[in-house]
Amino acid sequence: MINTIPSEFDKSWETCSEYQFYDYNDPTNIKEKYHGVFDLVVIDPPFISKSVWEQYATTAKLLMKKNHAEYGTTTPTHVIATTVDENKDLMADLFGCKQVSFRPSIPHLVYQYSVYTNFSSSVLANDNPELEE
Amino acid sequence: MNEQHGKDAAILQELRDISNRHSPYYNNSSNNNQLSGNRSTASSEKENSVECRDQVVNNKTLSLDTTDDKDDNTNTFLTHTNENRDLNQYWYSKKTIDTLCNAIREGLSLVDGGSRVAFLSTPSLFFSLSPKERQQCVLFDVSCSKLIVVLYLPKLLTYNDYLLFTLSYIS
Repeated sequence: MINTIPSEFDKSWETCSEYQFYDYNDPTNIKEKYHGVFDLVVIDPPFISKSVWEQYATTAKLLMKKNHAEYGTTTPTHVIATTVDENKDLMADLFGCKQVSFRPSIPHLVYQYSVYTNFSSSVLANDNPELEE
Repeated sequence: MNEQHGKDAAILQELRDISNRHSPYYNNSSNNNQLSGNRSTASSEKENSVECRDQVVNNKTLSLDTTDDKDDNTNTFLTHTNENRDLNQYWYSKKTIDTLCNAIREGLSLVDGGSRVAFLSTPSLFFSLSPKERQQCVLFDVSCSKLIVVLYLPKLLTYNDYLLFTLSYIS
């Protein structure tokens, strides 16, 4: 049975999307085919520090569609980011993102995160009922 | 052929044993060579549990991961992927994942011809989209190796690659 695994599951993965190794310590190490092609970037770094966020921003800028790589509230490449409230200004500086009403439930995390977007989202316009006590 | 199968099975079993011995999940100590040091601080990727990795060699359960769970209150990612504190992994709740995925869909719909999403260290969202939705998406993250084994191996690697991959992962 073990030996049948590789061929057995090939069919299931014909629509397989992609995973790329990424280390924020090497933020520009992104395959060229991914440069400037994304319409939306979703970001949730493992750390909340400014230095780590700047690395992620460098990568995000590489990935965003080329014509719109300059950040600003009107950029057609959309960004959704989650981090702590204290990073509000940082999110504005890096991505032109604003805090939205919806805040994520992260059951095992001690701090409360917020969500930041650079577009007006009706989906995220309401408070998260999960957080009501 | 049977002989070859037996040999491969033995190799796989050995790999599993080695892997389990090295797994942080089998001893609660955080002094794990694999997970300490630079790589761990660089990562927010989810790590699959040992049980999940074992599915690689158990194709009955592996097939669960390839199905589209659009139905109910379960989330394949959450039920199959443990948080790893050494990697600073904390998953959103199921309902939050649903909402954020809808926000992603909304954000795409507002871009003319928008279809491609880059997920930076957000595996729980990436894997909660349907396979069809994921087609033009890319997940960028570190230490996703166990995840690849479970979810991507059959597509990406040959059997020999898998053996090499597994060896490199546990070493």
